[in-house]
Amino acid sequence: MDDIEAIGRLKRGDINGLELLIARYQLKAIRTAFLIIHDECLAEDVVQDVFIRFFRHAHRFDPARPFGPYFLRCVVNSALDAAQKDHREVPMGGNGEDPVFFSLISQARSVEGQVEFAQLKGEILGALARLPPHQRAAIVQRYYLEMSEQEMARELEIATGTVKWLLNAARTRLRTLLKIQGSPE
Amino acid sequence: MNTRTNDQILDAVAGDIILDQTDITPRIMAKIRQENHAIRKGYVSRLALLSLIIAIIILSVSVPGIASAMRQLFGFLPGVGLVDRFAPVRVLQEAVSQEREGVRVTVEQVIALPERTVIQFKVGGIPDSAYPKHLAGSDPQGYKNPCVDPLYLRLPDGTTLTNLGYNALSGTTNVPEYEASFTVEPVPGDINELTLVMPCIEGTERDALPGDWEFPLRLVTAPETMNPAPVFEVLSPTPARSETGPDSVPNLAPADTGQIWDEDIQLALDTVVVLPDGDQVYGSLRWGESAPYSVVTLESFEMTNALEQRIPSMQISPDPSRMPATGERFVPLAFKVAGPVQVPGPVTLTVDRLTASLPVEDARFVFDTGPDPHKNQEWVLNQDIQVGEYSLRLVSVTRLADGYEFSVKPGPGVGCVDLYIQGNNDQRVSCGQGITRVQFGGKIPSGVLTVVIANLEVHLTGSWQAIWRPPEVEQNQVPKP
Repeated sequence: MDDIEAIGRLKRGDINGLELLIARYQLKAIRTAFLIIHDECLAEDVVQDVFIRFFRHAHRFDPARPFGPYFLRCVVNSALDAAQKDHREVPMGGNGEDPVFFSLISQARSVEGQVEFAQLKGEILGALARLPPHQRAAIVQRYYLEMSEQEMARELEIATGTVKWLLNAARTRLRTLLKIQGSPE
Repeated sequence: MNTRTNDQILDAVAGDIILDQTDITPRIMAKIRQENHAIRKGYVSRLALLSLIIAIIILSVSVPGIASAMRQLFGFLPGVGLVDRFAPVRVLQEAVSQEREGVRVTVEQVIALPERTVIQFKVGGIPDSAYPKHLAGSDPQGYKNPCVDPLYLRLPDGTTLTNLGYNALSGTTNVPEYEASFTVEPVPGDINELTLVMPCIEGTERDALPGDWEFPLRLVTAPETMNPAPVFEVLSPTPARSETGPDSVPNLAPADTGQIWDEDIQLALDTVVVLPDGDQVYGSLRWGESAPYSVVTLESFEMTNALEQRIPSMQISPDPSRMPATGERFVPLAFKVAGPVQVPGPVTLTVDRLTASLPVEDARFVFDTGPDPHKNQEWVLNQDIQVGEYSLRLVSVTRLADGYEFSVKPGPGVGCVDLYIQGNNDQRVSCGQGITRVQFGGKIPSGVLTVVIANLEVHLTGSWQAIWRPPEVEQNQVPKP
């Protein structure tokens, strides 16, 4: 049974359709939420709520849309809200940009030893935690969910003027980060 | 050598905490069963309607005869766009307004159509302090938490009609007042009382202003004065147009057509709407891959009649249904002709100057303020920077009380130079001819600073023309004023 069939079942009131979607997407969704929130329990709560919201509004879902990207973007938005309410992020000493993060990612690409990789993972998590929630969400969308900048902007569903502003900001930000990283996008 | 991709790395990072065997299925199912929430079953009719609409669109695009017949079915409602001329239209009985803590929100109109609902509203009294501190082109480090929650309609049974599109009609960000229209799903024909919910004021910082606005609305049958105006296609389709845009409607009545290409930017008109106080003409500016601009706008234009006499006209807000999607390389245009065109024959729209925003890929420079810069201290840079065919000279930087002012000598065609100081929060950039100012809400950075040029405003000159012919319309077809 593929996503479309699962959603079709869900629309007909068959809860088995939801079970299949949960089984297929929960791990990626919880990890996505965790990378943004940095709290595993809260990440699970967020994903649970997004699944339940989808269940309630499945009748409105356009089956022509791919479910996975749509759902994970909902998770990002909810996780971002939760992270902002949580207020547990650590400010970066007046500088929201973290070159260390991208340097670590760059190292992690090719490190051979498991011990070194494990250490790098911890450092990456720490560097990620120092970013403000919006930056974390942007990085998760771009580098974990591999969304294009266009998709990221479209998902915001906001006024044209604000979209232009955010797009420009996102573009400039990514450009800056990628230059620090020292490799092409 | 073992290599990992970014997503694999991040998956491994999260996977240390969220283990592969994690399963939240039981708790989700338990919660759903507990709530015993019934799934609504209205999907069959929605799917059928969607299929019908898709079939009509396909037919109208692919079969000229049917396209022509289809065109006759459309009319135009200002602020709404193309509508079914014969469909029932309901509107707001009266405007609804609320004021809280100095912020006034007015729901000016709601136009309920069988296929969509358009809400037009105005917000005023927004203090500047309610907006995030960053403007376009500034370093987005401090991107805070602006309101992006869409407003929605709530029916008496609690059902919500969700967002189909949003258009700023005036103003963008950091303005005390703006007008906007919002399109949501259609209101069922038997429901005339509903609630508009606005979670927060678009673009302002969350919690800076009162939130959770609710407006009770009452719909009534639209008066005859709101009958859709007749629509005429005046030009053949332009090349490289969006497949999904309104311009994809095929040409039905080829008339005088004029398109002149210049620097890969095309000016085209496509639709005339006949209104009692003068025609409205719609079109677009489009640019191709070789024109690397993010936005192009008209700097000046004029319309002339067949005797080359100037016709009074003005640029108006484009049709909301024509706004470009992200990444689409066009801007919609709309013009209003003041009164009837007295001289028979074609009308020419001429544009000879455009303004474009040119994103800059790699232009930065470094300067050292020293450890303790003081107000009005000046650093002479005299650095020449080349961006494609455009050049500029950074002459000097002056320390202000709250930031830095960059003195720029723009080369030919260059206007505003949009730059920011890398790696700093809370900076606000404003620029005019020859000056760009970077101001900081908090601590002003000093020492070795890297300045990034993000965008150039460039002026384009050329000759862009498009020709349209005012349609001859029976008087009884024109809606009464």
